[in-house]
Amino acid sequence: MVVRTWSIGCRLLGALTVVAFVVAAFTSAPKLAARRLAVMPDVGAADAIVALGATGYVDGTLGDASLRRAVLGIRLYREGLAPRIVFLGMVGEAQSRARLALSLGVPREAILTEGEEPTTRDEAHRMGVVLRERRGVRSVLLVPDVLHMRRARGLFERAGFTVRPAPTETGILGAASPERRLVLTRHVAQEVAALAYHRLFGYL
Amino acid sequence: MTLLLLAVVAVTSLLAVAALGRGRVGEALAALGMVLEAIGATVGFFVANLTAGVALVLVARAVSLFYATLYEVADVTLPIMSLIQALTITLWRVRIG
Repeated sequence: MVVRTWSIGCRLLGALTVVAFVVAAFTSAPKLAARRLAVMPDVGAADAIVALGATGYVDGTLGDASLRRAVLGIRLYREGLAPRIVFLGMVGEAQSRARLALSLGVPREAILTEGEEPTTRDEAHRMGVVLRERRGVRSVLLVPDVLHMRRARGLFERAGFTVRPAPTETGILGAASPERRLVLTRHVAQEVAALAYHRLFGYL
Repeated sequence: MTLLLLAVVAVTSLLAVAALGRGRVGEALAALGMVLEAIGATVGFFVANLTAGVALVLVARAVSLFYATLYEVADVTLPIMSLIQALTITLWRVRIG
């Protein structure tokens, strides 16, 4: 009886999985879901630019997301949208991004680094102390990836900031190949789970 | 691109059926059922592994054993290991009847 229930249950779940795979890979459903989740750019003047942490390696190189966010943050600074820029990220990531900014002409006194926060929630809390309480910063240009923005914005607003979204990787929303749609599906599922987790525990 | 991928898979499937099927097309449905069972078992193991991993991380955080982010549980090796679990269990179930 148990074996038969297992077999039928698995077959039903398998059929649902195949359908979900076809929908995710071969239809525009992931793009529609991602567009509902995404927060689009609303770039303008702010008191500080905050480039959230992603992945940095012990040899000082930066992961793709980290580099994207750093470069956009530097570009926003060079457009004169804020007088200071904050780089976050553990394992030397923040310092590597700061070196990149220096090499691209951002003055040392405009750069702040923080490298002890493992999560976006910790980053928002730390910025509440370092930027808002100590330096009187009220508004930030926030730089995460586009699907991460809804959660990041909520956390920074809870930390007392007015947030202007400056997301990176908006191009992912136009995923045109089956592989890119599957990657997008994974990002959407991960972010939806993260939002649910944050709401469940009262962080958002 | 999508049509090209689907066409390629359809052609190689038909060639395999022609070469190996020996005219027993009816058996294909039973095989499809086994494939669905293995896929379903993979998803089942993946959800179980993911749930257990998240629970372990949260418990470890609560009792301050160590700090780990939940992203670590979302590692791509987890679905692959779940697939190995599922194939082993499914084939074992078939062998013992």
